[in-house]
Amino acid sequence: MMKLNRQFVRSITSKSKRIILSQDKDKVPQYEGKASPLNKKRVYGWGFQETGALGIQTNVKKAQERYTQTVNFPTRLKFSENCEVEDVCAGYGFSLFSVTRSDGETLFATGINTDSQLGYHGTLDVIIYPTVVQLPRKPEETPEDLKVRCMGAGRAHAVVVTKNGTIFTLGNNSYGQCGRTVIKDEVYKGSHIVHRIEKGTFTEEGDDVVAVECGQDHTMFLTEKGKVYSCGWGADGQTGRGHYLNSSEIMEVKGDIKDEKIVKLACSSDCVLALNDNGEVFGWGNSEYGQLDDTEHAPPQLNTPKTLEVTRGRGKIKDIASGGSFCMILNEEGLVYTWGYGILGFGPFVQQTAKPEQLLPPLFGRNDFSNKTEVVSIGCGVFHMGAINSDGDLFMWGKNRFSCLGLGHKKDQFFPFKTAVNAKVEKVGFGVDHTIALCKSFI
Amino acid sequence: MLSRKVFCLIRNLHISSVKSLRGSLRPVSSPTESEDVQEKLPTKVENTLPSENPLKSYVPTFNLAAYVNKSECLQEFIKMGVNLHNIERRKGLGEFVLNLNFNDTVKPRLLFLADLGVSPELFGRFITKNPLIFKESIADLTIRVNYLESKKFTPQQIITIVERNPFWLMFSTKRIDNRLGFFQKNFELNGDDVRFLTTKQPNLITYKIEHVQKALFTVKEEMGFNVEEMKCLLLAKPKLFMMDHSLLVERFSYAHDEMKLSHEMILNFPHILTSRQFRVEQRHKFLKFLEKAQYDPKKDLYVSPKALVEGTDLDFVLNVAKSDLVTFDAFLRTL
Amino acid sequence: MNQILTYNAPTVFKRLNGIVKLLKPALKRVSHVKNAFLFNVCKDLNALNVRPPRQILLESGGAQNVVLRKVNDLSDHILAVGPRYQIKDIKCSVVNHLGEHTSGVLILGLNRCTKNANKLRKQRFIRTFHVKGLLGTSTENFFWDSRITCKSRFSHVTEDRFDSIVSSLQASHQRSMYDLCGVDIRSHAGYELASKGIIRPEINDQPLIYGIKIIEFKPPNFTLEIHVINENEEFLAMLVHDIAIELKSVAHCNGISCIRYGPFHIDNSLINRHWSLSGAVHSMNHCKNVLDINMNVND
Repeated sequence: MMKLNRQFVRSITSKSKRIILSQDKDKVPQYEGKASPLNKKRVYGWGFQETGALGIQTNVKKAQERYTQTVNFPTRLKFSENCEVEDVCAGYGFSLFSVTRSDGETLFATGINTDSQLGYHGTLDVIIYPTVVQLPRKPEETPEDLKVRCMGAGRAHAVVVTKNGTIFTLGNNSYGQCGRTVIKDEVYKGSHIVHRIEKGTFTEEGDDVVAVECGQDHTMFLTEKGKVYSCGWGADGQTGRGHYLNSSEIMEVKGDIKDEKIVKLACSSDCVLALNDNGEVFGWGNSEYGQLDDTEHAPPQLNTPKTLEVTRGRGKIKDIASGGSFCMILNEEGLVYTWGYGILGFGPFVQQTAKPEQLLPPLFGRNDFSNKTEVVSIGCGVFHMGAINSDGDLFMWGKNRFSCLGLGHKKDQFFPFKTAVNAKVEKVGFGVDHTIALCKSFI
Repeated sequence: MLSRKVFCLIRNLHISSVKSLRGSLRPVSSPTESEDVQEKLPTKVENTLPSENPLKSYVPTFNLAAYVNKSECLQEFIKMGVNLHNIERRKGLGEFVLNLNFNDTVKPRLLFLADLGVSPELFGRFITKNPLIFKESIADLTIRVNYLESKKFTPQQIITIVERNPFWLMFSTKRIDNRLGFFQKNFELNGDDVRFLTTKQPNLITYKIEHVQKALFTVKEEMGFNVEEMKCLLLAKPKLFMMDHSLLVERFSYAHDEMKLSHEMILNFPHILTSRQFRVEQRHKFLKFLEKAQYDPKKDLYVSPKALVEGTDLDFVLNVAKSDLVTFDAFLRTL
Repeated sequence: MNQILTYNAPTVFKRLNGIVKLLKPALKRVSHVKNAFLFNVCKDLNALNVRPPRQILLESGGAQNVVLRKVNDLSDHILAVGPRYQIKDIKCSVVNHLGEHTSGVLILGLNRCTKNANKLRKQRFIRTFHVKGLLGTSTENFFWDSRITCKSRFSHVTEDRFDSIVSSLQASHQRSMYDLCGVDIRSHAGYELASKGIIRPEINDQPLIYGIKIIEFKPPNFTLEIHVINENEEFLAMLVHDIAIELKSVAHCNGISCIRYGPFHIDNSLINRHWSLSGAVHSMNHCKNVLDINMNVND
């Protein structure tokens, strides 16, 4: 395509410097270009666009056209150019953005709003461009207090924890995932309700929520001291509280993690992994593919946290991720292991492994000229996985629903493949059919 | 005569196809060539490898070195420091040198040069440059020297001219006169200027006049110097008029357009035009990188264009750029 | 390798086997650079203690009392046969042929290491280039040293537009990496190839970009970092031109620098001040270390 006939070029080219010098260059206009501010975070999005979760289109009519249904390549969100985006989070068909703005708003969202998970926006089912989510504010609260510390998004609910420790829950509460009493036949569409949980309502004295993780229909909170609290749907034991019931009351998760200091939680649907400060992994919830326990008579569900024996001997674990039917761990040496069922990254033939198997480093960009590259962070959607390496490159593989892998096509990818994001990827929000990446420019 | 024939024969061969036999007397004979020799020469010649007379040796060779042990003249040349290796690469000169008779041809002319005052140490260089001097008759040489004397060149100047330009004495007085006239007329030189120029760069006088004419046009019309300024340039750096024209324009345009040097500055420091382009470019860019490229003598931190191009990189970096070589090298790698 | 201190030219010449890494300046042909380097090396070699002229036996004293004397053979004198070391005496093979407009790392194999140089060439390393471009004007040969053919506005060119063009370019090239090796990306063979790391295409003539990033954007100047194989400089210049066309503007290439050739980085390359015998020896040792660390082609 770009092959060039050298002879042709040579023949039309005048090499003599004099001829070039004799050309009148005064007429060449000199314009000033606009350079974007340095060190600004960028947001890229790709995948299913029709839900509006990418916030790329500005025209409702155009957003519903067939040809705009999916975004096949990572595309930079215009929203991130106008706003300073600090954090991103992807739910099932909607995205949350934590921003810093001069007008004091801290949370923006776009996508499906059928359950008012993005707050009240009239009767709109779908929001196609990031819109402000009004968090109910007490008179004494400043915009700084309401800055987002962490957030999580599930199937149809969203949870936001602000800097002053207040927790806001929005959206569907039919299983108690919003941490408030379930009201029978509650109409969630067009609802004004933003539930507010004050600091210290369920945590111990001097302990504070530092992370929140949403599964499909349950919510888990991680505190500074390493305690885990949960609420919501518990049919698969994903609340980890020793029963299979739904619970709207936020209570501590015990079992094997009772005396451990948990530093990270991972869950994208109903199988939960937890990591403690010693690099050990615990799990609970759905285990029907043998992710958590592969012994012969293992129960398909675990309702209490259990130490995962299968992950032993894989070094100190640094990061964890869990999808719908598979799990992934990352150890201190930057090696990635996956196990479970589905597209695990070992080519089209390997559908299931019971033990964590290593994905070779060359798959994540380690090669003869960048031999120090290693994976620094991993993540999972429900059916796909992703890993970020130390160069800031994002690799994705798995089911390619609505081209949520950003590879430019809709075919499944059977091993980690680099997604063409032209920036250093820092954090990725894995939705169910779209992906949002928070990146830093190369410059 | 025979030797000359052989030499011609060899010259016609594809020299590149045969590996050079520097210093060895090993006979090389390709089939066609030896047949050729056999046709022309009686058979007894074939086995006369160690021959008494060098001129009777018909062993083909590619260089003069093969004849050195047999030719008194070549031996004398080597003792004087003549670079035979250099001579033989030039067309026809190898043959010419081989046929020289030391006592009859070479000696009188060298004596003539010695009488003129040319230092004997320079004979080697002189002959290497111009072995054809031995073609000229002593009478001609005398006339040409006399011509210079008549033009009020001092003996010292004459020696300098002859030493610097071995070809000078090859030119007839008429040609030299024409050429000196050309320079005098076009550059509006007076007698002293002409003598100064001739002594400073005798090569320019005997250079291709057409080339100088074009260079004159370049300097005058393309670079925009007037006759007076051109004269200054000529007397300061005569070499400019022997340079490739495009190169000259390129260097000038870099100095004038890129470095923003005025015509007066270039006139004061013509070194910038004689220095190699990449050198000026590298150093100017480095100064620009350090934000020290300030060539206006009226302002602070003035950097003279002469200082820019002179000296080694180390001198430049330490004295002009006030930086260190490591930085300079690192900078060069980013170009 | 033993350290020796010698001023004996033949000893030095015998040890002059290795890979050297030069910094090629722009607008100089590779052959020019090679000759200039070898010329300097020869000059330095000749300045060392070279072999004295051979000695021959000479008869003198007439037929009655033959006296044999040993004298220097003038026909072996430097002035007669030329310098002891000449450019054509040093075998030299170029590993990466950079174009005339390109500057940067130039790898040469000297003498017995010409074999290694050929091996290195066959390894087909990925090269990294920094390509500078200038928006607003396009030229006849896409480089800076020819006449301007077209001018345009470029105030509408923003970095993110540039990014999106470049990232999609990279993705298409990465996929073509799998196309060129003739393996279906969705097959098991595709996975096995990918686990080996970089897939080198089987064919030699199709340029393939592994990574392309924009590392500087100050309109009208921009710099691209390109990891590429099978390229030539016209391809890179044309790439700049094509990207600019995509951006609804025009541009030309303002400088190409090869900053890395496989394991050889531009740091420690010999700049032309160091094109000498000592520089060559230093560079050989450096390259030997680099090769020892990175692979075993040096055996």
